[in-house]
Amino acid sequence: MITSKKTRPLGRQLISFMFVFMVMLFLLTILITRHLVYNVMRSSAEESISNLTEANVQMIDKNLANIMTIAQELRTVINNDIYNQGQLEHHIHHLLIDSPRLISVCLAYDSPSPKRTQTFLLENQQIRSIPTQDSDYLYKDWFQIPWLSQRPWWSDPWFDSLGSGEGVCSYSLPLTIKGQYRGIIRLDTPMETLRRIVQPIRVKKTGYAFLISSNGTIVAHPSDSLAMNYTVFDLANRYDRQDLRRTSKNAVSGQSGFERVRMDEPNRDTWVAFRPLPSNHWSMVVVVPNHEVFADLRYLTIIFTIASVMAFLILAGTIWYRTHALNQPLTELVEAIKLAGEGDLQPGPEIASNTYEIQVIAENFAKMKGSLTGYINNLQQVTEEKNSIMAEVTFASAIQRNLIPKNSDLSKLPPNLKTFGILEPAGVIGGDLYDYFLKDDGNFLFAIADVIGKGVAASMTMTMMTTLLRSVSPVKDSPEEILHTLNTFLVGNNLESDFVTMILGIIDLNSGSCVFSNAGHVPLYQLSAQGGFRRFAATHSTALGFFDNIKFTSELLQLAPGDKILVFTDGVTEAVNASDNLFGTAGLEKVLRGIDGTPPEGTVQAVISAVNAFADPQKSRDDTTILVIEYLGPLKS
Amino acid sequence: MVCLFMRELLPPPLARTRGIWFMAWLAALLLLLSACGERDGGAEGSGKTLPQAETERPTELFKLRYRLKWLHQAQFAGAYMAKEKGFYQDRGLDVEILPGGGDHPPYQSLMEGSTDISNFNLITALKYYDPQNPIVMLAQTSQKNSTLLVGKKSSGIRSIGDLRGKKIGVWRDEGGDHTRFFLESLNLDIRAIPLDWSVNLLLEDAVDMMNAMTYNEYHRVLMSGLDEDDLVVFDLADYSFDLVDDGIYTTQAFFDRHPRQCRDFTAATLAGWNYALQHPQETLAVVLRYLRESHLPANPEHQAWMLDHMRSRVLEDPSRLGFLDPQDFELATRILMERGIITKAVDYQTFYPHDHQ
Repeated sequence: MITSKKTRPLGRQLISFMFVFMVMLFLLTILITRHLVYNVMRSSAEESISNLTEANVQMIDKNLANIMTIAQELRTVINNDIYNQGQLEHHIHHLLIDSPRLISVCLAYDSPSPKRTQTFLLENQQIRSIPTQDSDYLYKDWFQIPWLSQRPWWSDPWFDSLGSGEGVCSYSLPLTIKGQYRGIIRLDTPMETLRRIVQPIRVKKTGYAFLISSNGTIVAHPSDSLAMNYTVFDLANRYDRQDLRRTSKNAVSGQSGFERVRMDEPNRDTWVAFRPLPSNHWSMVVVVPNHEVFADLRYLTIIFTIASVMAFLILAGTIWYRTHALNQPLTELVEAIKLAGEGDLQPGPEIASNTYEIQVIAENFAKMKGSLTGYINNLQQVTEEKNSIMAEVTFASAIQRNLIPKNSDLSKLPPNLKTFGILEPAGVIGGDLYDYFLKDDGNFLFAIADVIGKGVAASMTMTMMTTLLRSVSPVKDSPEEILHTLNTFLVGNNLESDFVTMILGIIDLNSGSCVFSNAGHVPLYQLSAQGGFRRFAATHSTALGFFDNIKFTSELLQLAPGDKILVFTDGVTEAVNASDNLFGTAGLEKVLRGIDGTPPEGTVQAVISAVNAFADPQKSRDDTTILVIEYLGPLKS
Repeated sequence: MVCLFMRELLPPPLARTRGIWFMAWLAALLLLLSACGERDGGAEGSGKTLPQAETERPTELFKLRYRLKWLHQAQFAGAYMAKEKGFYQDRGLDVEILPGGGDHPPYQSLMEGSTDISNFNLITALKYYDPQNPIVMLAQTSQKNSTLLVGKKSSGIRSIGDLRGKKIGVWRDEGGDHTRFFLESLNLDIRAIPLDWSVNLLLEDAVDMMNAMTYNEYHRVLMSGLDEDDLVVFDLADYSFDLVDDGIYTTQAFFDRHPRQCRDFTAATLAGWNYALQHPQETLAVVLRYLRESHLPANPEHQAWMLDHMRSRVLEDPSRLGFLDPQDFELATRILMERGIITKAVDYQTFYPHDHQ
């Protein structure tokens, strides 16, 4: 169906609208739900991962604290100088046997002496003493840092090639003898012990843990290639991540935290939990991929999305089914309207719908079609009648025009007169008339009349007036008698339009005198051959048809050769312009002043042109009639 | 062929701007060394004209031991790439690159004969210079000072004057001589604490400042969680101690016996440096391989930092690649004489026999 506007079927519109609405609703619901669940899950993950971290921190710290306790006891023993060298070795032997986390003990003195600085370790459950061969140990971190800072210190892992021959982490504390700092006691615990705790830690699916020292060095990591090769700041630098560096600084500064670190690489969006080891200021760091922390949230989102999509599909199907049921009678109705629009008003199949509004529309449309059919039939009949009447009126108009003297027919004019008349009816037929003819050999009769009213009635009155004028004029001598006869006729016949204004005059062709009577008509003008004009505005009676006992009078004017008589109807003076001003006698006289010596036809054309130029075509016009008679001089015998 | 080879030595921008000057200088050096080789080849009794390395590959390679100043790292990338890319082999050399450090001090190794060529500091060479058993410099690879003093701002040190009475960590071997001499020159009652290579003394506040190489320890400090804003840094170059460090040396005796090999080793090592600095990724992979093979920490980021900083030292003035500036020589001599460590200046031409042969 083609319409002036872009349209879409109702069902599709409803589904589109519902789609947009439901997508927005579901999105909003998903976002809010996700946000709420995210916060809950984040909090839960933080708690569980932190607890796990804390548990492992405690486990590692227990080992370290054990070493620290042993070291402090040993220092007390040495400081108090309780044992001789043999007893001291025996004591250390017992410590090594009783403490599986203790792999070796070193007593290092500031004055290098191979005899005094020794490393003790177990070999087949027997104590073995390894004397130090040179003074290089004085420049090792495990010696120098506690020696210079005079406080205990846990070293980074290092490879004890001269002692146990494996990677160890050392606890060193200054040794004082008789109040003097004399050296360092160093107790070594194998890194393997810590690594065994850290490496198996798994959080979620792939989350892992690692240990960092107080300067950020990775000391135990599931990936051995990272351990002792990198600091966490190296990794931040590698990935160019300031947030990772900030997190790392928080971790090495002894803080606890649970922070998100995003990398540009895939699977590098992680959560990092960190906790310090109280004993040595290292930190345990647990890394869990973000997608694992929020795996349940992802599943929830997927399920929610699937449920939303299914709900939407079900709803859309229901809407479609319902709108289709609604749409069927609507479609039939639309088709019927379309046919009606194309002119087919024949009754169609009955449209049945269980929807009240549609049923009302369908029933009333059927009624409307019936009414419209009746109206059209009636209209056709009226139109035919109107056409018939119009044909008759047109015929009447032709007859009416034939009653008016033709300007081209000079045979009816005496040789000393020129005439020119124009009659422009407002409708097909008019109520104005003018006429002239020879009353007898010496007298020329002219008349102009305006039947009050319009249309057919005025036209019929005008026709009767013309006929009556022609029939009574030969037997009446004066204008008053002729007008009296006409008045009597109008008063006595109760015509539809029975009021007529008229000027009727009789020109003595020999003398040029003209006697005329004005029965309620507009003025008569005498246009002098020498220029100028004279207005005869006085009326000699009321309009014809009002009263039967009117007394008619007349007036005489003398025409000189070349003078003209101009008569007209009120269609000239009552022409209205756009400002609702009348053309008036002033407008007429303005024209007359400019046309001295112009023949009758020119005079008439000048006046009618001025009137047409003045009148607003949008305003209604009355019939317009002008007649000019020029007297050329006495008849020549 | 020679021109092409020369251009390969240069980084692209320099090849455009300063290539002509450099090529003229290096060509002159090669010609002089070549002439020397021909004369000394005669002294060896071979009586033959030495073949040009670029045109004829020797059938039997000359074995040569090169002792580094320190353990394997990107600081010595030029030698690794010369070996890796066959620059040594093309010149008939089979070079064994040996790590240095505290266990194998490079100067002592050279004197003991456990190496043929060594890499160490200019000031070390002059400090231990023995007229009875002289050494000669083959090339001065590092063209500017790399030694800094680094400390935490939290130590309260703001200026050099604040070092009075402070504990400053200084490398205990000759690597710390730059810093040691500098601190002595300040006369501020500073306590110099001898160190190994660790930066932990500084991190643990056991010392107030320590010496650090821009290309090495300084980066380790940054990678230990300290930001540049946390640090106070004194560049020794800003205090009239712009001492150049890494140079390539051999004994006068070895140089006299094997001049061509010395020449070829020097040219190949410098070519290796140019290659290394033009191909940093490839070089980095080779450096990391050396580190792993030596069971040393192989940290790509740290080695990349080091290689990048070596660029500004080796190529500070590409037209003087490997050249010992007489002013640098005089500065090192003056510092040692002022300390009374040496009493007589070594002759520049004898020490660096690059143009009189």
